[in-house]
Amino acid sequence: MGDFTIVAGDSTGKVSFFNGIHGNLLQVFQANKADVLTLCLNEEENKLFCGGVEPGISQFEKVIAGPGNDSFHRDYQKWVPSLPRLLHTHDVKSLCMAGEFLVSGGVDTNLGLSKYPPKTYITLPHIPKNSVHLAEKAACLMLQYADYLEVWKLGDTAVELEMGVEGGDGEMLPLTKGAKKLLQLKTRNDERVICSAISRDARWLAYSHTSAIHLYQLSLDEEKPLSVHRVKYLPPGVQPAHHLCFAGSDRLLVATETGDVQVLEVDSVKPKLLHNFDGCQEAVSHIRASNCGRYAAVSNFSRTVIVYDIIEFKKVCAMPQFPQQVAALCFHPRDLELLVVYADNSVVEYSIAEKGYTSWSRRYAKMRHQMEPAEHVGTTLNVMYHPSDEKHSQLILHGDKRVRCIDKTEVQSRKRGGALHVCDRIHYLVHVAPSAPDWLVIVERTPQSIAVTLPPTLAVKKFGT
Amino acid sequence: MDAPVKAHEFLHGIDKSSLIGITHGLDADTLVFTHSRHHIVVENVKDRVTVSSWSMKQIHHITAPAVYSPNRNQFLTVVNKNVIHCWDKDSKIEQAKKYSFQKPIHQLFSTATMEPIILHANGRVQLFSIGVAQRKQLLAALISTAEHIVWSDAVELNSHIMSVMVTQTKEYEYKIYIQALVDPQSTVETVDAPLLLQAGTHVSSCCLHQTINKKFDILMLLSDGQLCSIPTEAVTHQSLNTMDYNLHKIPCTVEKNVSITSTGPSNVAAAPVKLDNIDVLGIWNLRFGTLVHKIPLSSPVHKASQLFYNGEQLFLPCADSVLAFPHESQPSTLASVLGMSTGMVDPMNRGSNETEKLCSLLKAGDLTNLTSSKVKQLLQSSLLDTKAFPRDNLLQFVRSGLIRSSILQDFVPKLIQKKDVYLLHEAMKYLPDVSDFTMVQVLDFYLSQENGAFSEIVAPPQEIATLMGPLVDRLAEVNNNGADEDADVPATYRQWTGKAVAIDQLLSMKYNDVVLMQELQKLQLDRVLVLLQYLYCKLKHSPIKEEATGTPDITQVCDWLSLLLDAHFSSFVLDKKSHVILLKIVAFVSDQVHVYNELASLEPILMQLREQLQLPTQKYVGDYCIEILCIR
Repeated sequence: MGDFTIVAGDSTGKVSFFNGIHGNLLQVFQANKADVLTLCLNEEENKLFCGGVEPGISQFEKVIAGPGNDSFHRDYQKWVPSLPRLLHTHDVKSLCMAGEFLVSGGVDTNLGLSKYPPKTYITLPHIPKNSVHLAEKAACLMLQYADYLEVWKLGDTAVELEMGVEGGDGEMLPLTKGAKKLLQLKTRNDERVICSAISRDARWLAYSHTSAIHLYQLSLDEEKPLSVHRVKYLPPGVQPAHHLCFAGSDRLLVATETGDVQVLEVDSVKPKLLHNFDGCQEAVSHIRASNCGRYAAVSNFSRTVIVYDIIEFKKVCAMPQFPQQVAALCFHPRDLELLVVYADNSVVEYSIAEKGYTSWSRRYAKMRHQMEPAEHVGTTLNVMYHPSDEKHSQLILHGDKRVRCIDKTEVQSRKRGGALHVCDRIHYLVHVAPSAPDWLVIVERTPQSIAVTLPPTLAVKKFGT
Repeated sequence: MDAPVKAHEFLHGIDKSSLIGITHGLDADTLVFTHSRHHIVVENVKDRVTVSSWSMKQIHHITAPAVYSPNRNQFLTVVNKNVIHCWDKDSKIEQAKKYSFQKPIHQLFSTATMEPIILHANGRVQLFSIGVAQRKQLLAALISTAEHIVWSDAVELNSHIMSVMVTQTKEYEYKIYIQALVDPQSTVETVDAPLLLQAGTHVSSCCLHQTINKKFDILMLLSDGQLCSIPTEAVTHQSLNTMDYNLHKIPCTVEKNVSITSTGPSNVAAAPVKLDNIDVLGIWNLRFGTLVHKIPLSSPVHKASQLFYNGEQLFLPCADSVLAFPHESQPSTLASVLGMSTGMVDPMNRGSNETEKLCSLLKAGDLTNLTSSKVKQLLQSSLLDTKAFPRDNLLQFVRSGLIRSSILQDFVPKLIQKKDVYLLHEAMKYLPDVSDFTMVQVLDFYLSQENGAFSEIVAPPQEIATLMGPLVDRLAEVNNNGADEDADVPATYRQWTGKAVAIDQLLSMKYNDVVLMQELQKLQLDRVLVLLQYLYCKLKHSPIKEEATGTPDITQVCDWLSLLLDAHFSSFVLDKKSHVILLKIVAFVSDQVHVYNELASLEPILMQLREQLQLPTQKYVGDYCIEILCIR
């Protein structure tokens, strides 16, 4: 600390405060039952946080009993235990301050944000992004793991839900055909998969590791056995990717480490590198292609969103910059409009043709705070238009804990109550995507499934055990 | 409760046995310490600062404690036995006015408003002015040459000064002298009374004690621990028998250098006295005969100790300093002394008749006149009675629930000493708040006893059936078939009906697991093994739920087993004898866990049957499913 007080945590769970000038021990507290793993001091140096081999975070506060803060009155300063915080289920391994929030992380993989007063606890689960890809036309799902990919054929049910006829929420439909694993593709030498993509008809599959991109051609004809053909010769200019995205039936968009966007024409024999859009040296955060296969929207971490024409290879427009990062984006299924969701959950609709926000977008910006519930809604991971809505007036947004549906027409008619619909019974949502009209594919990682993979927590001795 | 707290040190570094005396100083906060025969120090004991100090030349020796006379506004002391030095508080002692006397002076006393008093070595007292005027004259001796003064004091009453003095001869014959001085005539009225003590006893310490009625008693601590309170009015020319004035007996060993002082109308302090082989400063309540407080003395007390009380602090010379213990005397009430476990003993042993009276009240069901302190006092006297053991009366006390937990720690060891199993069993059955220490103490005693000792304990027939039914049935089966004994049931348990009832009573009592586990660690291993084997039998045959009072259910048995295993884990690991029984327990518990798991799985099916619903078909929900999602 600034006053040369040295704080140490030991393996017995004690936190000791030493006078660094004289080298004497000032105070000792039994903060934890076991090892202290991390200590964190706030900017004012009057609060100390301590985490270790137990779920709780201990807090100590400096109390100044004397009149001044000089060296003479330093003896009057005492550290006292304060309110403990319990956000985690396992060991807390790291702590740091972010403004007034204490950010904590540990074995349970969750990121905890807490502050007091008022008592505010926010837990952000670790959900891998862009690890699930859906080939809508082929009803196939590709799962990206650390060093391999899996392609699954989705199952089916005999029950046809007619429009307007609702079943009970959560009602299970009988499976006529279960999900079937078609392919498991392991990387060579256990290379770590950075990103992957599958085309909408599941004919093409691409993934990138740290040194190269690999492209495969799949044959999913049900009457014939599955065949996988690796495209061996890629153009020499193709670089390892951070993001991959198929556009149309024959184009692959590659977002490189340097922020460039390369357009690759896929071919089973000789793919071509058609164009290279220079980036702004910022890593790409999202890349999406329009349904027509002509446009590609790219956002990067400098908070810019650019729309490219990948047929004529030109930059179409750049959206106005927002102070927040882009959380999700998607093209309108029919019109030349781009829907962007930012980190603060604000939704904007941008007309590429008119190069301006749509009227709905302006109206929604005014009404958003009245529509959104007061509690914390979490971050948005993905956004899409409702697959069964022909007018494309309904938006589906999902975070890690809830699916929200915004009815644009309700917003248009200023009906506040009916514009927002929420489903929050599925935790944690890894991926939500429409596979057909009235069908959504949801990939869920339940908290229980995460918990069973975690190491055991600190065993507390109870009598008789 | 008036209780001394942390002690402060004064005169650090003085020699042992060099303190001559402590007297009152200039005001209520100052005291005059005379020590090392040459030094006089005036200390403000409240602020703990030295106000003044004087040192005599080495050729002169101070022979009596220096006193401050508010009447003369001077300090006075006796030098070389027959010279009185008087000096002002701001002047040097070398400038003191000196008065030489023909005969030696024993001590000087100061009074609040009147002149100082001179006590001559021959027993005569004089006002200071008269003594100085007649210092060249010879005074007729009051005490004989065979006597010497062992204690003296003087107090100022309304119109006169009373001097009290106790003398002793070589044959340990004591005499009390009281002299009254009336100013200005200085008329001396003297009474003296020989003291009659029991053979072999002598006076250890004396002090003056002012009663609530503003009268003065002479408190006298005898070497056998008897504390006498002799009113000064009772001193006439007739002999006084100390037995007539015995107040209490202090239940501790009185040291040779003991000193007592009055700390208020109802308290007396004594130090050093031995309590549980520890030197302590004890404060007793004179009205109720209870030990109000005791302070262990870590340092040795001076041989000629002098306990002094100034109204706020108790001063005691220890080791190389004078220790001051803050102590404020407060009016004592019955409520303040209730719960004191160690009190003075009533020497008259009037308890037996009282006990009989109490028992007759109990029989008549009249509990209105009972107080817990009375019962406690009577019970203590009953326990101390070595000649007769009032078993029936104690049994009646126990069954009436009159024995409080504070006395249980004395009561139970007495019963264990008497080996009265039945009374112990009844005590465990009826008395509330039995401590874990006592519980384990009794359990240890039960386990150490033969089965025959429990013959008096008879369980009711239905209780026997519940408790020992399976064991007895098994025994009958074995006897009829002529088969070998059941290895799991030791032969001794079959005769354990009384012992089992007693142990079961303990097992079903409430306890604190943390404390009980610490206490269980004190049990010897062979007794632990017997208990373990018994618990194993109980585990096999205990009811799921408690069916009768005093019968442990299976949860309690499991808890006791767990506690016993935790308490003696290392011993069990090392001791091979215990391995067999432990393996049996493990096997039995595993079977039970399996059975209970199966039973638990039956519960939802039974619930379904109860609701008369069709049993559901097993629906497997795998990693992949199709369900309806409503977004509202």
